Amino acid sequence: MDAVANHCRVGADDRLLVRWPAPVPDGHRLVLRHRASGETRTEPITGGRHSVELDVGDLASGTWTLVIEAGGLDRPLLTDDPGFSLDGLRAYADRPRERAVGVVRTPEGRVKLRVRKVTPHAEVEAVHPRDGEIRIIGRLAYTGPRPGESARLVAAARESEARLVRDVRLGGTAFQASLAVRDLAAAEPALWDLWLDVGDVHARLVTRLDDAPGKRGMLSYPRQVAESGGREMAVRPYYTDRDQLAISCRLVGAEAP
Amino acid sequence: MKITFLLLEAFSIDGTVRCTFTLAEELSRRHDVEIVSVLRDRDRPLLPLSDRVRLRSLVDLRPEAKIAWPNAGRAERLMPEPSALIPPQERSYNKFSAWTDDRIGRFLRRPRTDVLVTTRAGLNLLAARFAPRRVVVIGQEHLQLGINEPEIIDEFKEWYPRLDALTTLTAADGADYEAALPAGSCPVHTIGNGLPHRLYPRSRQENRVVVAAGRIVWIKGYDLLISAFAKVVEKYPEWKLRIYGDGPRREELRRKATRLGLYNNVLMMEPTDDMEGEFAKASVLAMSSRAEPFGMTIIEAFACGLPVVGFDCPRGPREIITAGHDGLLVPPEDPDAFAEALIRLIGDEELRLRMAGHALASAERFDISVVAERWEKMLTELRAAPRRASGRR
Repeated sequence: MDAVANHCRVGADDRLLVRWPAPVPDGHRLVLRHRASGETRTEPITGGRHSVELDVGDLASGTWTLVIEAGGLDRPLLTDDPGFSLDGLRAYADRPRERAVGVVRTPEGRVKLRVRKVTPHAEVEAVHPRDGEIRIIGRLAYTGPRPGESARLVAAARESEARLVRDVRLGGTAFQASLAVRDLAAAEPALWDLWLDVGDVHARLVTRLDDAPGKRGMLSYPRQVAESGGREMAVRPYYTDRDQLAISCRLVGAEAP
Repeated sequence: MKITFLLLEAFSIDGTVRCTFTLAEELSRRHDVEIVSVLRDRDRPLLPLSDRVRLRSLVDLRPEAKIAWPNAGRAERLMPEPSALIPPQERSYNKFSAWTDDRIGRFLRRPRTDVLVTTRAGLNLLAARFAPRRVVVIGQEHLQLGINEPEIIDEFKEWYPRLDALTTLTAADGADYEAALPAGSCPVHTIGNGLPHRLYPRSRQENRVVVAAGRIVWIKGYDLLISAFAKVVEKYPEWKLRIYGDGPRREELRRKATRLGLYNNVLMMEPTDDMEGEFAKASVLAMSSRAEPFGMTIIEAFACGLPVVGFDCPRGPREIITAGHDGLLVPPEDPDAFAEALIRLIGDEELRLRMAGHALASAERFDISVVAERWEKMLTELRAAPRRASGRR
């Protein structure tokens, strides 16, 4: 059986590190092959033939397959490493960047690198809809800390010009924002999309770094009911089908199922 | 030797199909192995099967299926008729018909094989009745005796003594069947399911995730698990529970998590093709079943380096998990005890890492090559003369 790497990850510094528990045979090289263009990058295995490390921050977007080449023959790079940790994904997104590189392990244990362009977003880590407010905790992704810049949560009604803007506490990349249910209930019934504005960054509130896409079907938040202008409104956060956090405000009795 | 497995539905996804494919593939390294499926409803099986194992079917349910003359008329006439040979208490009785009776009977009277392994109650009964004596016939029971209706247990008592052997997945089931069958009946062997050869990803014990996986049905106890997890979160709010699977109770469980305020901690995940990949991203497997005939999930999680917290339910978990070594067992259906066990493992990283190491070693006991060797030993002994008088013709 081919040697199985027990470490295969991209660090926050965009260095790919592959490590084996025992030395691999002399003359083996790691080859990265860009699926779309066929472009390759080759790196000898060093570190006493235990490891290979290289910069992957400048790779072209798309999928790169990783193989081990020896004597003109390619064999897939195999690993038992899941390829990332959840804390690692957060630490990676804590730095400013326009491109994200990540390891994808296939069910057969092969390795791919996925390189994609990214824009800043506000990663939602917890939502607390209770006590008459909706409190949102998270961190700015792909911008790095923004010291000295003011931050605002912007709720924008999807089909009107209505806006609610609230100041946000920012510490490093971490943010805490809160919206009062009665303020949402005072407006016309609407679906509200949420943004975090920090300086010139307009970041959508979304949950992407938890490795669980499709949260709409995986969890639901409770509704809170508020009276405003003689009518009752049900206010409930929810995820869109693109994992963006939004808030639904409906007259009681007219809510979406 | 030539070994033939008889499955009801080899073309669908099911635990029995998966385990039979794994065993058949391993045996096919040294033997001529064929799988016969009573029913076929698609061109290719949904689960992968090695080219070394032949697969054929007895009744083709595909819309474009052609039945050769002179059977076409008979098939059409018998298909809607209920089975006369399968007891109505068989859990898949509705999948059988007078036409499957005809085809299975014809197959069993002349199975061109040395060993026939049948994989569920209805097929075991028919093989005991109709398979010729020269073929070694093994009946496999994947279910507990106790869940069967008395009428079908009477059928077991009447016909199972004619098998050359009966196999069960757990020793507890083996003892039950042994006790139920009359004296001088066939030997009962306990051989668990095997873990297929593959490169399993291994948990690094670095993510604050408890994982559970299986059909979202009452017997799996996910309602108890979510109640338990509410207590875990009080102490460890950073920890998440991910439950993978589909089933009729998924919505209800999602609402329960919401009601308990666990929307930041519990995710009802979609089923996935790469469950092992998801196991490896977690740190503990929660096995909350009210009953579990075997517990393949536990073994798969072991192979990915996860310690397991489980209810000490009937039957499988207590025979797979060594409590305090590769996991923790708590009294059945007691969510408070389940929460305490999770809290203990979450809070004691050293314990978790030690148990994770033991879990990897435990998985090796269930390696399919170990399991297949036990099958081969049993088959070799059964084929050696003199054969026991089974009562078959």
